[in-house]
Amino acid sequence: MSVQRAASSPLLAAQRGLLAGLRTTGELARVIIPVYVAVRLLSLTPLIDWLSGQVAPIMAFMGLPEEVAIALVVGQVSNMYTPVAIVAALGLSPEEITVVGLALGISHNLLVEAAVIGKMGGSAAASVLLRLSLALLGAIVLSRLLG
Amino acid sequence: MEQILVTTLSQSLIDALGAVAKLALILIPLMVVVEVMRHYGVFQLLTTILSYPLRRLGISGTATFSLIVGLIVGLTYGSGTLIQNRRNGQLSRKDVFVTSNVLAVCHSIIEDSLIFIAIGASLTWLVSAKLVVGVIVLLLASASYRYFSNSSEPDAKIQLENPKPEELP
Repeated sequence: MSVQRAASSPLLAAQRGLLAGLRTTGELARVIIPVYVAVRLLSLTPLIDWLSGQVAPIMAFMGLPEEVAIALVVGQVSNMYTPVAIVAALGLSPEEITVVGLALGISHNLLVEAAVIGKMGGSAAASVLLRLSLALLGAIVLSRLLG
Repeated sequence: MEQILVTTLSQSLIDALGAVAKLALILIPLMVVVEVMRHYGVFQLLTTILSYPLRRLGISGTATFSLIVGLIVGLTYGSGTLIQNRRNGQLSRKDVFVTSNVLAVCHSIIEDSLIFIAIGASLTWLVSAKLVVGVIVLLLASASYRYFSNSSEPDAKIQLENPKPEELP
C-alpha cells in the first residue's frame, strides 16, 4: 500500500490492493496458526494460569479476564497478529474483545513504532508513556461503558 | 493425556485456519478498497475537509494529509509523507509535535480494528473509541504545544541542515 506513487488506473489500484491483501494474509497465517495452537496447548498446562494470577488485579481493573494479560504483554513487543491469535484462542465475550482491541490498538509494537515516531521528529520515550497510559485509561473507561 | 493432546492439537488447527480465513475475507477486500480510494483522491478530499478545523488549531494542510494517511493506511506511511514534507521545509515544529503524538496513539484504524472485529469485537465501539482517543490527543497536543516547546520561534519551519533521504525502519 504505497502512498507516494499514484496509480495510473483504478484497475491497477485494485490489483495492488489485492496483492497487498494476499501478502498480509500470508504473513498473518504464518503468525496466527502457530500462536493459536501454542496457546491452546499451553492452556493444558498450569503456566498460563500462574502468569495470569500475577497480573489479575490490573486486568480486573480493566474489566478483563486474567488470561488476556499475555496478549496485552506480547502485543507491546510484536505486531498486531500475535495478540489477535492469542485473543481468538482464549474465547472471550464480544465486549471483552472490544476492550482488548482498544487497548492494543492504542499501544502495540512499542519498540519498532517508537523508532518510527523518533524518525518523524517526535519523542520516542514520550510516545511510549502516552500510549501505555492511554491504553490503560481507554480500556478502563470503555469496559465501564460496555458494562 | 495423549488423547487430549491430539484432540486439542487438531481442533485448534481447524479453529486457527478458520480465524485466518475470516481475517482474509475482511482484509483483502479492505485493502482493495483503500487502494481504489487512494486512486480517486479520497485522502486529498478528506484533507481539504479536515484542514479547516485543524487550521484553527494551528496545524497546516500538509500535516493534515500525513495525519489522514497515517490514520487510514498506517504509521509507516503517515510518517513517510511527514518526513518527506519536513525535509522540504513545509512543516512547523507544532505540525510535527501534534502529528507524531496523534499518530502514536491512533494509526491504521481500519485494518487494526477490522482484525479484532473479525474475531468478535464491536465495530461501532472500537472505531469510535479510537477516534475519540485520537481527537483528545489532537486537542491536548495542540493546546499544550507551547509548554513542551523550548524554541524561541515556535512556528519556525524546520529546515534540516543536510537534507538526506531518510530510511524508514
